[in-house]
Amino acid sequence: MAWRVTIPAFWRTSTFRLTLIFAAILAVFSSILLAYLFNETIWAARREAFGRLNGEYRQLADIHAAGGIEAVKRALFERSANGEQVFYYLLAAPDGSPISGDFSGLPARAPVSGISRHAFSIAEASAAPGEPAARRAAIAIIGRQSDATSILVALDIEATAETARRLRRAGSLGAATGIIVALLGGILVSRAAAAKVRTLARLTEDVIAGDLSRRAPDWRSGDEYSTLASALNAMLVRLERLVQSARNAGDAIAHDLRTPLARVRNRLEDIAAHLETAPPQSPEPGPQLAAELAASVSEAIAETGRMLETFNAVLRLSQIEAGENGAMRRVDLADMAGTFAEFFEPAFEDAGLGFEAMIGSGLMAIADSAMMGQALTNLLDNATKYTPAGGAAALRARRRSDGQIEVAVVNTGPGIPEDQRGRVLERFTRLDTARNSPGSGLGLSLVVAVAERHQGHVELSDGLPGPDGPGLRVALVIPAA
Amino acid sequence: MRILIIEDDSELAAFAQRTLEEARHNCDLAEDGANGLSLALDSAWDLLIVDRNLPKLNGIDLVAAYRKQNGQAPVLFLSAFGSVEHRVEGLTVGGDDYLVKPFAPSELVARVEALGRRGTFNAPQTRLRVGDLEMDLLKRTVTRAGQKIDLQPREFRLLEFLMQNAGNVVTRSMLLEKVWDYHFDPMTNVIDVHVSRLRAKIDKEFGAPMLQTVRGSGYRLEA
Repeated sequence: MAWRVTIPAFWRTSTFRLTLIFAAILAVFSSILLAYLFNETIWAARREAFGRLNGEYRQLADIHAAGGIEAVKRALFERSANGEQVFYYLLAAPDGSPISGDFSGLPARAPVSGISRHAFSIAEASAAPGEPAARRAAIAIIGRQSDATSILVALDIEATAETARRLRRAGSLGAATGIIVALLGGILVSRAAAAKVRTLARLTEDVIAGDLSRRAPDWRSGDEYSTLASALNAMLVRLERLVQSARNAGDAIAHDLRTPLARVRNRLEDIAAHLETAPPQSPEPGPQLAAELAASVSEAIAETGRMLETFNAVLRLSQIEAGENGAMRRVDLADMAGTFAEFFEPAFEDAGLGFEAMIGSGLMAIADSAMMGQALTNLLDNATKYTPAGGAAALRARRRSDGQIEVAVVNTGPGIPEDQRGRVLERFTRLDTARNSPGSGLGLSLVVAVAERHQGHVELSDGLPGPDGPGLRVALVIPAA
Repeated sequence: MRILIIEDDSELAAFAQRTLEEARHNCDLAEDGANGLSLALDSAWDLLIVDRNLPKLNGIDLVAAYRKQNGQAPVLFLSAFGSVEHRVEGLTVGGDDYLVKPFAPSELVARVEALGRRGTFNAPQTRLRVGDLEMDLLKRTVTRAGQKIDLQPREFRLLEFLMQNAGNVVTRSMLLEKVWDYHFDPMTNVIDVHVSRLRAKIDKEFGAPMLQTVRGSGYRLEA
């Protein structure tokens, strides 16, 4: 087979693609969550800090407007003298140099006019000499006053900044972990799924290569894969049976036809040899030879006739099984059984067998009369062939207590052992005892096919007990109309 | 008989023609339905043999058209389909008999000759006579050389059909269809048992056997 299963790498599986999509959604969602958290905590704290800064600046600006630089200097002094200093200050000259306050000068980006907000950092006051001072986050408002001096008010927001840093760290760590876990999980899950798919694909590969006995494992997981696996297994069981029966049928046809074909060939060769060796001076073969040749030819013709019959039986069986040519009508099976009993009675009598028909009345069924006729013929024909001499057979048709209609042929004889009953219903089965009798081995399988076409079935059981054994009963059971 | 064979499978047509000409009939061939219909209507035939599946005009439509234009010749359908519906369909559009492919040459000849004689049976007969064998269809009695023979009803119908076709071969499937009304081949030789019983009654006590078995084809009743 040219076809080979290619298993996609795990990153090409649909499970993994789904995982990726979910990881992306997770990332987007946690970013949104983080942004929301930031807004609710850090940015809120900053807004509040700026609010406080603004209030402080307004006070100082008002003091400046009322009393000029000196008043501001006084106010700053008061504030620093007050002990707990919350804000940092700077009063700068127009050129930016400090007049009073905590800083050595205005930042380079200080505005030429108006008010501006700044975020910057201030050196840790407590830094040991020689070491670079730790820096603390701060925000400031700088406002240019009417006399070109500037007032700067700053606030230490290191605590907020630290929280922000932690939040950011925790958020990104959480998101990264989440995404990594999602990806790892996705890989694991999709590998597991890919492994199951691979198992199933390998299975189909083996089946394509011809091994119909392979079955998918029972994962017992109750998921879609085990549903698929059990459906696949059910299909394989059916397939194997069909293939087996087709194979058996093929073998049996070949086997059953090889012998008669060989006989025909022998006869034809015989005839050819006779014709070649006929003395040339007598163009007319002698009457003796002519009769021999004629007999050979008609034997060969009879042989091909039997082969055609086998083919016809095979064809009819597959037509019935395929559901072709059905002409279902309301049929009285009592009438049919009656005419067939009458038709077959002389055959039983000639074979030295007792025969009786016990037929109920009004056995209406929806049936194809040709198919039912064929089935009845096969049942009765089998009884004439396989009932031991001196035995008896009977045709019984009745309505059963469950309402179904049963047409049964029973006979005396060895019957069929219970363990072989299933086998004789298969195509071309001929028990060893019947090997040498005429027949295609299709008779009963045709009856089964007819029963199945009529939503019925065939039952085998013991028939009429006698000295030869328990006898056989073959019953065709179909629903009543 | 003048027979028109309308069949597109040239090998099968040639086989049928050869078979029927050996039995001293004249055959013409047509290879498709349209051509076949115009030939069929052109002259008086004793029999048409029509394949069911034909190019241009199928056999069923051909025969329907032929009957509509008052074509009188009996029609024998040939077909690969052997089912009852096909048979019934063929007979309802005006076919007279139906033969399923593949068929034995003897079957074809027997059916053709039975159809060819059909015309003479149109008037209902009350008595049949073959040699010293006589059948009274009204009284349901049979005598041979004046001696009464008792027959079962089915044996009576079997003999009636054989006498109607006296001198010609009747095949087993013809007997199954006409005497037992079985329109399928039951693939059994039970019919031989019935014939040999009849033979025992009509031939055994009389010198010359009339009911003969024709090997590979069927039976023939002959004086």
